[in-house]
Amino acid sequence: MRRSLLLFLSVVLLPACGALTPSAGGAAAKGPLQVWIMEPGAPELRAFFTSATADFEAAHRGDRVEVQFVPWASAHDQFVTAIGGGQVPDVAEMGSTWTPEFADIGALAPADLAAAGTGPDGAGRYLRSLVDGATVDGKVYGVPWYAGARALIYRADVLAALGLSVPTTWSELVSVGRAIRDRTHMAAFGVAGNAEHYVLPMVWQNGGEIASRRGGVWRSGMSSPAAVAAVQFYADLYRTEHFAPAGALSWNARDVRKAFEAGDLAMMIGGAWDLRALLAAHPELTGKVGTALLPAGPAGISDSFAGGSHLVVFAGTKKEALARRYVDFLLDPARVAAFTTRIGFLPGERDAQAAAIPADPLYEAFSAQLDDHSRTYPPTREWGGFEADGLFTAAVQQVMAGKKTAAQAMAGVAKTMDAAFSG
Amino acid sequence: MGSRFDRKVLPWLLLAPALLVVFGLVVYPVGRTVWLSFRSAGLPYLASGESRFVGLENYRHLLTDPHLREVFLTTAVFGFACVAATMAAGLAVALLLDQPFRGRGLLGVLVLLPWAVPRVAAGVVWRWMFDDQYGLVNWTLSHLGHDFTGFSWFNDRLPAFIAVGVVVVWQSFPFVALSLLAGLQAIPPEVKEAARMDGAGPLQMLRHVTLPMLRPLLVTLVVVSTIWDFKIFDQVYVMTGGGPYRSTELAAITVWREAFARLHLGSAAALAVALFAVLLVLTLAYGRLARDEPGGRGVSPRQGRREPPRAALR
Repeated sequence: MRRSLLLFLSVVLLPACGALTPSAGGAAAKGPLQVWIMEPGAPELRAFFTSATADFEAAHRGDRVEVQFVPWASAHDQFVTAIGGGQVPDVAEMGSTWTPEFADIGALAPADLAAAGTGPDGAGRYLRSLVDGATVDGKVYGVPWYAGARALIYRADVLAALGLSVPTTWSELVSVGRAIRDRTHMAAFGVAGNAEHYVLPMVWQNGGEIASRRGGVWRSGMSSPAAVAAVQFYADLYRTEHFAPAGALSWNARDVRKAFEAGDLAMMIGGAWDLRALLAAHPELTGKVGTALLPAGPAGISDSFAGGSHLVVFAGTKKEALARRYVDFLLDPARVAAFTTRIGFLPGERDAQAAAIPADPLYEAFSAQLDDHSRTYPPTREWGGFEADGLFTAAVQQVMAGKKTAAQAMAGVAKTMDAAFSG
Repeated sequence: MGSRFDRKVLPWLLLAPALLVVFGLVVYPVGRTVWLSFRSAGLPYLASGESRFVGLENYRHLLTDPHLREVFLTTAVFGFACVAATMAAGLAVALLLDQPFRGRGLLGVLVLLPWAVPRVAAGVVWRWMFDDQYGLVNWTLSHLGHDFTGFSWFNDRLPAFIAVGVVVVWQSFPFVALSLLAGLQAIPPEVKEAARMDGAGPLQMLRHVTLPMLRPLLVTLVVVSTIWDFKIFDQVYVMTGGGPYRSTELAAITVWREAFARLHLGSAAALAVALFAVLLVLTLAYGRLARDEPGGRGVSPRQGRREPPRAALR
């Protein structure tokens, strides 16, 4: 008995070294500036940063910068772990929906948009929605870097061969999808279970709201009839229309792109970064791909999610001056324009937008989608947790699998959201 | 003076490094986790240490939340299934390797390979093999006669757990097989010879001689496997992420999700403590099992022949 107890203790306890212990933020005063950049799966990103870092170090003698690339999928965890362990970077790129959450607990230093040389809130210089997304209690905690909105990417050659035109509404999406499903060996549309940015905008397209603010309190809109119908429509594209293979229940956006690259998928929701990456990896698709605004819902709305990122400086950094210099360096309009064009994003700065190289017509849909047909998720501190927890994707998967109706699943989602909003 | 120092102080001085390590790596983190399990703590706790005492609230939540109860049940069923499969596979391979045949040494090395593969890497590779469109598993099964084309292993809980279970067993049987092989080779040849002279067939040998003599080793291996299989994280995280719709969440995944995604650190700590308690109880139960004497027809207690097998392995 004693031997097995000892065995138990050694096997169970030794790996338990990582207890969660708070620690005062402790970025080192010496050493290079620590920078975390999100990795969207675009091969050009690293090349850009290698040359940008060299430029910065050449222009600022004695300053050194160390860039770490963090995959989007695990980034939220890594920020939480870093804050818990007091090992935060000095500067980081942060998903625009997460900034309020981390700003709220005092992990981020307020950004100085005024010092950037424009109006007090930087409204003149930056995209309004991205500034809003970084604002907590009237203070701005991140500087908008880039934005992007997903649009429809489709196989123009396949649609042409079938004599179909590009779907502009939900009902056209269904009829075009049926034709592709019945007359080709391809999957019609990338209905993925693990991709909240695909399904949530459909709530807007159907005239609903994901959450709205009344009297200073956020309330979920996910159990409204419009939202429920939108989720049901999305799930039915998979469940009853079979626009995607059975395995799409557990696909994420990357899997959708993979199927499109393999020539097994005719239409998908994706960003310009997806299009750039897939054309770079599969040049044989050049000339066979088209882009369009997302199909509009019954409400006549075709809004997509305006995603993007902020550059933030962490509170308690011992290199604040250097950190701000580096952020300003990255935000130089010409550099932002060069970066976003290469990766497939759109600049968060108006000056940089003007400076961006005249776009390829193939990419115009993405600009149009972002400029005129996009919205951001509610800028609440709770949102980052919803995404990290897979709140929406788990519920949508249940509807897709037929385990629950959209009304049942969305009632649960709304309850969880409201409980979180009310603290 | 010198001798008093030697007797009273020196032992503690010599023990100090080990005690410090044990305290820093074991006592403090576990104590802190238990402490945290009685508090409500979120993201602010990580930044500023802010938390609130809530008594047994986290544990009440654990017992009343249907999802968490289901996770515990799933963990137990899946854990025991993996242990059983691992032991069976391990024993079979050990018996095979115990036979003299050409290429035995090479096979022994090959069998070890899955154990040497990092768990995350194995998860990634096997997720590809189980891919619904381009996976080797579906292709092979389809060629064996059943049509598995496009079968999606990760769409539902049972097939997803089968896929994950295959990887878990594939990675853990080598250790069991090798340990049992060592045990088999330590059985004195006289015992086997005596059994053979008494006319025991291979199955009788296995049942009445080999297994009883391996019993202490088997219990130890079952304890270790149980602890491992109740804490499975990597393979599930990589292969299913707990999905679809959280149906393949095991306790370790849920602890992680509560802590790092939902940021309910107190509730995650309570969950971890509960898992700890379950494993402790299981270990004690196995320990008792190991002490109980082997009964059964072969080694009858009346004949007083219980002792030799145990003594032989001491």
